[in-house]
Amino acid sequence: MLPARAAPALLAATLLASPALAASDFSTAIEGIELRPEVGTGIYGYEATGNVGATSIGLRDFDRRRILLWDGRADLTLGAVANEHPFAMLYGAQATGEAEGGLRLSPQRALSAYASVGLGASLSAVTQSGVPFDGGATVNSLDGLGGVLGSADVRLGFGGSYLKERRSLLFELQPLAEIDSAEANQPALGLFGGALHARYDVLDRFVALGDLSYALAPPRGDAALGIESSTSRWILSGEALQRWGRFFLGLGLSVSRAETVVAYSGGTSFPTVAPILSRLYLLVGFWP
Amino acid sequence: MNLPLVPLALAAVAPFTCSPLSADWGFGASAGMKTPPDPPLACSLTMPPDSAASQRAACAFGQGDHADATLGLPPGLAAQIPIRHVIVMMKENRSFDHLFGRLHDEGQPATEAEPSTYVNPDLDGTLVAPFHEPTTCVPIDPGHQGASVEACLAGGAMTGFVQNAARTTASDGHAVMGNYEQTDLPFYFWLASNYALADRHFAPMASGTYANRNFFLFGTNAGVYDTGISYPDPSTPSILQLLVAHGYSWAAYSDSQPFSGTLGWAPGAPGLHPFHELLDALDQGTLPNVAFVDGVENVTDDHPPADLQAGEAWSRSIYEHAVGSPEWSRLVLFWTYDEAGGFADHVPPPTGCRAVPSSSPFTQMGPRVPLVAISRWAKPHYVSHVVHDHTALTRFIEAIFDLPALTARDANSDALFDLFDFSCAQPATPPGPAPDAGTGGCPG
Repeated sequence: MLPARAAPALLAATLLASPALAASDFSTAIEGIELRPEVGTGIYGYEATGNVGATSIGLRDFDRRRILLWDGRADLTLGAVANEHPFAMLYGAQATGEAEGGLRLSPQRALSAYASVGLGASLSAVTQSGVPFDGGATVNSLDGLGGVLGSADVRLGFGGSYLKERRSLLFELQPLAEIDSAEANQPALGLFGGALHARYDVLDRFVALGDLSYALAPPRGDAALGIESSTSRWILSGEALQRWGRFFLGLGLSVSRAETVVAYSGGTSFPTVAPILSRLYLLVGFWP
Repeated sequence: MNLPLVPLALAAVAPFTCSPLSADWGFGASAGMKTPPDPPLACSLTMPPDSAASQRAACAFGQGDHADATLGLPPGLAAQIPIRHVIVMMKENRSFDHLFGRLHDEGQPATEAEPSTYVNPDLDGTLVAPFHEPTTCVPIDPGHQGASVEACLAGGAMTGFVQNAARTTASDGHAVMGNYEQTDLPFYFWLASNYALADRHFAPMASGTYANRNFFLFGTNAGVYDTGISYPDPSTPSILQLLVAHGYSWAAYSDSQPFSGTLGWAPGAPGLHPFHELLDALDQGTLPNVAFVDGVENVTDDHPPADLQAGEAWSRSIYEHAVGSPEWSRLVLFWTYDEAGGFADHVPPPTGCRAVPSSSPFTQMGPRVPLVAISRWAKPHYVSHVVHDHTALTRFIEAIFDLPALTARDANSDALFDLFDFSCAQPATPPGPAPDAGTGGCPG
């Protein structure tokens, strides 16, 4: 086991030893019309939806120094949630997107230190048949899935970039800040934390990315009951897409869980943990 | 092939192998709860007139308010009430008229009889009047979630019960107009006649089990409308949290799902106990401050198609242990039903206050359900006509243990004090003997 203080020196040595490369832009994208069946879990029980829309995921470097990457998706959604009884049909639309701009500090080397800034946002409007999009409180809570939901986050990234003619690997440690909108049974939250993020691209053929994040919301007080609530949340997500000509196929997973400690002024606290919010989806697409 | 499908698939399956819907309510601290010693018994308490009723009617009170303020009591008076142990026996799915529509003529004339002119049309338009239910194990389970209850209420006309039952069961729906006689349920009729009965007690929401029980536990439906989809967020403040946080004990007793599955708790969770431990606690005088007891689903919880006489016998066992308990003078056993279960009741339910700060928009109560307070301190042979719902049970617990209101709904509720007389005039020994539960009501 290396002592922690040796890590920076080891990284520097690795960077210096990596071979210098000639400048040539790396540009890859997988995009097109998608069909995305999904199953998942949440506080509402189980969900199964079919999603139709468009997706675009790609990466481009400029002179091996600057890197732009993106991952966006917009879908129409139709499906159902169910636990025991009754089933509830859902419909709506969802869009998510994130973009990151980064700088390779040693552009001529295959392995370079890397710094980035990323922005992400999501917006969804999903509801049950006969229920207004903002009527989430009038039906069973679909928190995490239904209602008009939005979130935005900003991330700074520090890590490494390995870039060759046909392959790119990014690995980053990312401090993050996020705002989540209120849900039917949940307050709006501001979260601060960090993520481990990795992304691997093969030129015009394959993308895989993974993310593990942990974030905390500042304590919220409820003076009337003498309560202070502190929420933490972890998310593990991953996605992989492979392209064959005009067609592509993908698989994605997201698993998250929130813990809220409810502390009463007398000293008693209740460390509560919500059900797992998960998504597993298959992605089938083509470029028309 | 670059796709790392196998690791991804394995990772995807993992969360589904450990019950992803399970939540942790954080009640580990409840395992070490100690029941504080009861203060010396006093019986000289006189409750002053309720001077805050008009403010409560105007929803003037809010989350955090204590019962002294919301009930117009001198500070500290409610905490002097001799009852220090509350047993909530909340059964399933029976309306007031269904159980006690004939009680007026068979033991308790102070309660309103189900009018013989009260009728519901069936799907053919034939008017169905109340009739004697020929069986204590009604074979149908009428729809009783939000849409069904709304249909039953028929805008306040209370004429949609039969058609709703016909549309949601394989029957003509007439059974929901049936009611019982004293000979069918002798112990239930005896309890309702000898102790304090509330005949204007409503389900707090026009929906099913989960939403209505949530109002009792959280002062709001907590994001739940119909039973079966969605649970409250486990961090939602509850009467369970309040009790522990203020040094009082509670326990849930059931050989089935506690709170009829409302919280999705699994057996073995902190605070949950088998039913026999309630009887043991009564015998030994070791009751927690609040005990929640639920029968076995569709067997002793009175949920149709359960035989009501089986549930009656089960309830009688609790009663017999309660009156024989060394804590008889310190306890109350509340017997009620979570909601009417699609069975007819002729009284239009009122609205309650919004459960601020919860986002719940629901104010419409559901049909009446029976509520009986069984205690040394319950007024004998008494019928209260005060309007309230299950949040009055919540408020009673909050009042005697000086806990803050969870939401504006329980803050603006009555606390059932109309059912009690805490003076020394109350007999120290229970009325008796209680009749046995009925038999033979469910042939075959």
